[in-house]
Amino acid sequence: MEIILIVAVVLGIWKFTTRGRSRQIPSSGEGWGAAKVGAAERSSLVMGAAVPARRVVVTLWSGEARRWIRTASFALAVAFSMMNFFVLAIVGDNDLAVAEVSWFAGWFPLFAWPIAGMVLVGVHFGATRARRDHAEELFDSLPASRETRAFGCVSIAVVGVIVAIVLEFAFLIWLWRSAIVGTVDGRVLLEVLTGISVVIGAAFLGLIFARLLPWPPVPLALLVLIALVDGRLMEGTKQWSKRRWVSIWPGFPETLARFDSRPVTVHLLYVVAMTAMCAFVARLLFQTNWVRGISVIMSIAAVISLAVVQDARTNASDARSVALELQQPRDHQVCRTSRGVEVCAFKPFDAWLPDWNDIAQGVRENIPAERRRDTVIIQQLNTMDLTKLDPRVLAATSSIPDDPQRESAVLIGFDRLESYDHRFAYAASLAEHAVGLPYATAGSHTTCTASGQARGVIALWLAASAVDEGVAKLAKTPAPPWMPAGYFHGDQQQTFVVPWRSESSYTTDTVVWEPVDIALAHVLAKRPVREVRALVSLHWDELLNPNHGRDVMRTVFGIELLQPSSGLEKC
Amino acid sequence: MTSVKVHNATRRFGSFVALDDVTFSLSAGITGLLGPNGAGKTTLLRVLATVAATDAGSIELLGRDPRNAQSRVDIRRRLGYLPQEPGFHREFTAFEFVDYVAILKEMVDRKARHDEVRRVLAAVGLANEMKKRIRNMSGGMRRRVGIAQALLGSPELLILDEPTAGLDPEQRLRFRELLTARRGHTVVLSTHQTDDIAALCQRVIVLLEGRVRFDGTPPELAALAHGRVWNALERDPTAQLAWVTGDGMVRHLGTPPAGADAVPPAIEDGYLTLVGSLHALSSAPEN
Repeated sequence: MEIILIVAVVLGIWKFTTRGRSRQIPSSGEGWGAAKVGAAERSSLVMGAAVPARRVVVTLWSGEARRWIRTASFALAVAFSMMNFFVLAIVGDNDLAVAEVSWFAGWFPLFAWPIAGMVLVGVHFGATRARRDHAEELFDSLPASRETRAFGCVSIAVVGVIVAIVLEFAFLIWLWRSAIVGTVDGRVLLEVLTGISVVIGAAFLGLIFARLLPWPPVPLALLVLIALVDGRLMEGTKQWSKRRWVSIWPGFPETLARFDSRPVTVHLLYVVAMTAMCAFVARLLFQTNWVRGISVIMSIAAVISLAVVQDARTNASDARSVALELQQPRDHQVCRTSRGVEVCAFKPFDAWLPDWNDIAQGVRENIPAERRRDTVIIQQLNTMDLTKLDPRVLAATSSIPDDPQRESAVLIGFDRLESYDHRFAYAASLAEHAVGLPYATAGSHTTCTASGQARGVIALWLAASAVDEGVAKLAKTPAPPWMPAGYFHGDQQQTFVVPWRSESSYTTDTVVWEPVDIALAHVLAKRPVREVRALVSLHWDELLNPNHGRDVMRTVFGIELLQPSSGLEKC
Repeated sequence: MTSVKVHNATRRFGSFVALDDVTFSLSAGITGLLGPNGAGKTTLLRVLATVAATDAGSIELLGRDPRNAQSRVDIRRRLGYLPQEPGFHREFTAFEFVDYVAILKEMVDRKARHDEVRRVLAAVGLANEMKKRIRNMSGGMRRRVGIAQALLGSPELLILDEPTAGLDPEQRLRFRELLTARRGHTVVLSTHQTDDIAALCQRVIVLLEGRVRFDGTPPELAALAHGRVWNALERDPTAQLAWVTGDGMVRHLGTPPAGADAVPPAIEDGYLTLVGSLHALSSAPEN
C-alpha cells in the first residue's frame, strides 16, 4: 500500500511538471507580422491594478516548484529519502523488529532531512538566479519586489513538505501494517510535524544565505557545516539537555525509546520557533522596520526560552520515574502465568507474551513433572547500554534498590523471537535454568564451560526440542548451529548468542559450548523425544550432577563425553 | 498629457557626472534618445525606469514621484522596460521567461496571462520559438524576447535601451512597425541608429556629457546641418567630415566652399554637426 502511495505521488509530480507542455501554441505566422494585431487583440490585461504580494508569491509557486522538481537537487532529495525509507522498512525490518512504534517515531524526520537540505539548496539557487544571470535591473523595474520574488522561491518548500509528508505517511502505513508492537500515537504525529517544520525552516535559511552570501557553493558548504555541527551536537553528549537540544537531527534513540525519548512536544516547538526565526530574519533582510525587528527579537527569545524549557524538561521526578521502571520493572509490567510459567513484559510488548510462553512450555514439558521447579519467572528487562541515558536518570538509579526478582528471573530482552536464532537462544536460557547451569539474568555472571557435563548436553537437547527445526539446526556441527559469525551487532552481544572466543565454540551468553557438546546433543535429539524424555526423567538427578554425568551418559545413552578443551572455568 | 517630467536631474558616480542638470518633459509619442557612448543615455533611462535615483532634481513619471516607495510601485505597474543588457535566465524557454516577467508584473490570472505572453511573443515574431530555451537562441532572438517582455500589458510608458541592437534589417523594420502602433503611449528609446529615430520618433533628445544638448523634432535636428552638407567628386580637406557614398560621390559635412551644391541634410548630419560643434567648443582654448 505504501508503495502504491509513493508511485501515485511520483506520477502526480510527473503530471505536474509536464502540465501544459503539450498545449498547442497558436501560430501567428513567421516574422513580426503579428505586430499588425488590432486594438481588440492587444493586451487582455490592464496594467496598473494593485495585486497583493502574497498572490504574486502564490502565482510564482507553480513555476518555481516545477523548475525545482526538474533539478538534480530534487532528484537527490527524493532518492535519499526513499533510500532511508527502504533501508528502514525493508532491510532493517528484521533487526528493528525488536522495537516498538514509539521508538520508530524519532526516525520520522529522517525522511524530511534530505528534502530539507535540497530545499535549502533550491531556494538559494532560485533566489540568487537573477543575480547570477545579471537580470536584476530588469526585475527591479517590475512592480513585484525582490522580497516577493525571493519568497516565490521559498514556496518550493511546499513541494518539499508534500514529498516529506508522503514518505512519512508511507512509513506510517508500513509501521501500521508491520508486526511492530505499539500504537501510533501523538508522538509520531509530532515527529512528522517536526520534519515538516525542518523543511520549511531550511527554505528560509536558504533565503537568508541567498541574501547574505549569494554564491553558488554557499548552500552546499552550509549543508556540510550543518551536518557536521549538528551531528557533533548529537554525539557530544548523552542527554537531551545541555547542547543536544539545539540539534535538529532525527531523534535516534540511543536505547529503546521508552527510556530515552526526547521531549517531542518541546522539541517540535523549538524547531517551529527556529523556523519562525529564520522566516523573520529573512524578511528583515529585505526590509527593515519596527515590526520586523520586534518579530526577530521575539522569535529569538522563543528559541532561547524553549531551549531552557527543554533543558529543564527531564526534571528530578521524570528521572526517578524512568529509574524506577529500570530498577523495579515488575510494577510497570504486564504478567501472565500459565502452567508453571510466569512471563512479564512492558507494555506494549505484552503482545509477545504468548510466543514467549509457548517456548517456555516446550522446554518445561520435557522436564520430569516431579522435577519441575516452582513457577519459572521470565521477565523482560532493558538490555541496552544504560550509560547512554540521561545522567539524571543514571543518578536516580543509584538511589533505588534493585528488585530481587529482577536478579533471578530468566531475562528476555526486547525480542519478538522472529528468527530461529533468537528462539533457540531464549529456549537455551530456559533450559540452562532448568538443569542448574548459569542462565541469562539481570545479575552479573562469569562465562563457564559445560563440556564434559551431562547436564550441558541435556540443556541443549531441551532447547532444541522446544524450538521448531531445533534438531535439524543442531545437526549442523561443526559449523555454528544457530548463528552465522558476526551476525549481531556489538551492543547486542550481552543479550544474544554470539560466537565466542573462536569460531569453533559457541555461547548462550552464560555457557560456552564446544562443537562436541552440540554433536552429542544432536545424537539425543535424533532419537524419539518420548524415549529420551523417559530416560532423562528416570536419571534426572544423576544427569544433572556435574560430577557424575560422564558415567551416566555412557550408561544411559551410550554417549562418551569429552573433557573441555577451552580451558574455561567449569560450570 | 505629460507622462514624464524631468527637472534639473543630476546623477553622479563619484566624480563622474552622468546626468548634469537635465530637464525635459514628455507626452504621448515616441521619443528618441541620441548621444555618444558615455553620454548618460542609459543612466537617464534607468532613472526613468525607476531602477536608479537621481542625486538632485525632481522626476515625475505618470504623475507620480518615484522617490516615494508606493508611487514607485505604481509607476512600475504601468511601465515597460528593456535594459541595455537585460540578462536572461538561459535555462528558461522564451515562454517561461516572459511568463515569469508577467507574474512579476502582477498578472496573476493564469489564462489571461498566458494569452498575453503568447500575444507579445507573437508580436515580436517568436510564435514558433516559444518553447526554445533562451540559451539556444541567437542574440537577435534574445533581443526580441526582451522587447516582448517590455510590451507585456501594453504599458503606458515604454522605455527601450537600444532595442534594435543585434536585429537584422528586416527585424528592425518590423520593430518599427510594431512601435508605430504604440504612438498613443509614451515611448522612450535610446539608439545609435539615426535612421530608426528618423523613421519612428516625433521627438529627439541629444545627450552629451550628461547634459541635454538638443530637444526637438527629427527634422529640426537635421536642420542643424542645413547648408553644411554637400557632395563633390573629390574630398575637401577643409570639411569637418567626409566619406564616399555608394554612388562614388564624396559627401561632406562642414563649412562648404564657395560654389558647392548643398544637399538636404539627414538626422545624422544634424547630430554630427551638433556633436562636432560642441566638441569644438569644449576643445577651444580659453581666452
